[in-house]
Amino acid sequence: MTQELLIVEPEVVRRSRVRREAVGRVTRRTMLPVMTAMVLLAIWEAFVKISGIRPVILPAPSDILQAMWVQRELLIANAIPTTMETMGGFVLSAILGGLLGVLLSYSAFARDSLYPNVILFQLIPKVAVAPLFILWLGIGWESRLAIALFIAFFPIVISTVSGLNAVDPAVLRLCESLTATRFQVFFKIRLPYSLPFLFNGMKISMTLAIIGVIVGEFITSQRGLGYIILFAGSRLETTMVMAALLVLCLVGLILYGTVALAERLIMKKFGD
Amino acid sequence: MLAVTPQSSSEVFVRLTKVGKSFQSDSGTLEVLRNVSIDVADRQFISILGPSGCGKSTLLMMMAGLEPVSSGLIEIAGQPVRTARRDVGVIFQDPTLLPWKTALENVLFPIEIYGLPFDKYRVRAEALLELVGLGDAGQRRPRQLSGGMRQRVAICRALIHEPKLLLMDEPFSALDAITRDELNVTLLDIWERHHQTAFFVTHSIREAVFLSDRVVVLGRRPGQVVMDVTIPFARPRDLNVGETVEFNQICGDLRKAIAESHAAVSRSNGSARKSQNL
Repeated sequence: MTQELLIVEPEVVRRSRVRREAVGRVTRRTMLPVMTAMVLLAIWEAFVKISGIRPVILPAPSDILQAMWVQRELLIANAIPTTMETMGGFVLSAILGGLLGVLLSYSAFARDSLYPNVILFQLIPKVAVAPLFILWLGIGWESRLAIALFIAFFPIVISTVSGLNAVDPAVLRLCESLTATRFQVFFKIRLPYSLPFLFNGMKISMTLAIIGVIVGEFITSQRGLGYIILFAGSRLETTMVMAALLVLCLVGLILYGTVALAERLIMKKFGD
Repeated sequence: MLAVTPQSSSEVFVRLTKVGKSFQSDSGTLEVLRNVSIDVADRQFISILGPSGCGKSTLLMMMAGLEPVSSGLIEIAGQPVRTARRDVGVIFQDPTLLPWKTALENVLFPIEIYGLPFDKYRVRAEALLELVGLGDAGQRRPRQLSGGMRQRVAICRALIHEPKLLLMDEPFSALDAITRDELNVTLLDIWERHHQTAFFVTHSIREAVFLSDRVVVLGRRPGQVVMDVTIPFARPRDLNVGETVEFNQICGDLRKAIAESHAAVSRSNGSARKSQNL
């Protein structure tokens, strides 16, 4: 038959053009924000040096970096529990939230009886519930994990439900005509269709899990970057607060980046 | 009344006996099909022609086992249809390809669902794609294909498991006229090679006459058989057959039959409907 709508461009030319464009895009997308940050930091540094503002109000970036280096052992020792508890809270919320999402999508009874309550529950300002967890679970990692789980849980549920229902009804009809089982429809159709939703939910959930753990550390005051921030803040060690914040940023970046990377790898496999 | 001409030469593969369909809605019962009886001979290409809303797509969905009948009986190969069957291939109005799969993987999707050996059918899938002119597009994804190309992939997917009955629900209605002509030729080409029983639903008179051995006209809702004609043209056919006097004569007769079915409904519904059915 005829070849319709094929754009004629030699393959070699197309490949080199695509590569060139891709390199340009990546450079722009990575270099531009980094350079912007550099410029802002330089302005900050210059402002602190010129104005002579007291470091307890606003320390210079160079001082923060120095404090970070000097206190590296303390910071790393406290970053580890924060990271672990965040990951734990995230993984638990992904599993439990995903399971609840599947249940809500597949059982009309569960949906009708639970979903309105889930939505209602989500309206509670979750940070306000944190002290309850301390009452129930004590001041150890259990309650910090529970707070993280509680905060990070809902976006997963919502995104799972909307993702699993995002299937083209015509595709479901096709599956029915092929005598596909519910199992096959779930794994071969609904799950792939829901992936963009799931990853969006997981990215939101990961940032919320960090917030949960930090709130937990504020309240339990045992260890972790949140504890360092609170403790240093109470002693007016602004430089240390900022150094801990910077480490927290790095931890968040790595955790969020892991989810984003997983998304890119998996979505690549699913043709996006 | 019912003008049913059973094919005496070969045996019946699909038998519709007094099939009726009604939908319940808030405003009452909507009768879509009434007393439709059609016998389809083995390896016959039959088109169901009718205005939109006459229930022809519903009839096809019931044959595919995707919709229950309200009354009557549908039999395929002597067995009553209750659910979808694996010896049937369906081509829907939309290609409904899975966006993350390549054209080849989409063609092999039924094999994946049936749990049949992939390697055995891969060759067949490639041959089918070749046949519809997509031999070098097997590794492309649906969004890299035009609408016509996607529907070609859907045709291959419906044929991959060598069905005995091919059900087509206005498969080309979303395409432009030129692409549609091309796909009609492609479809005939494939069908003349494989020659399974084919049941084609359309609202295009010329398309129905060009493709079919036999055309059945369903009247306006509730759909009933108002005409049943045998198309005499020899196969293989090409688009030139559409230029002949006989072809246009048949098209004229069919158009008249559809118009009369409208008029009959208008009369029975009172004069209010008459003007809008002109």
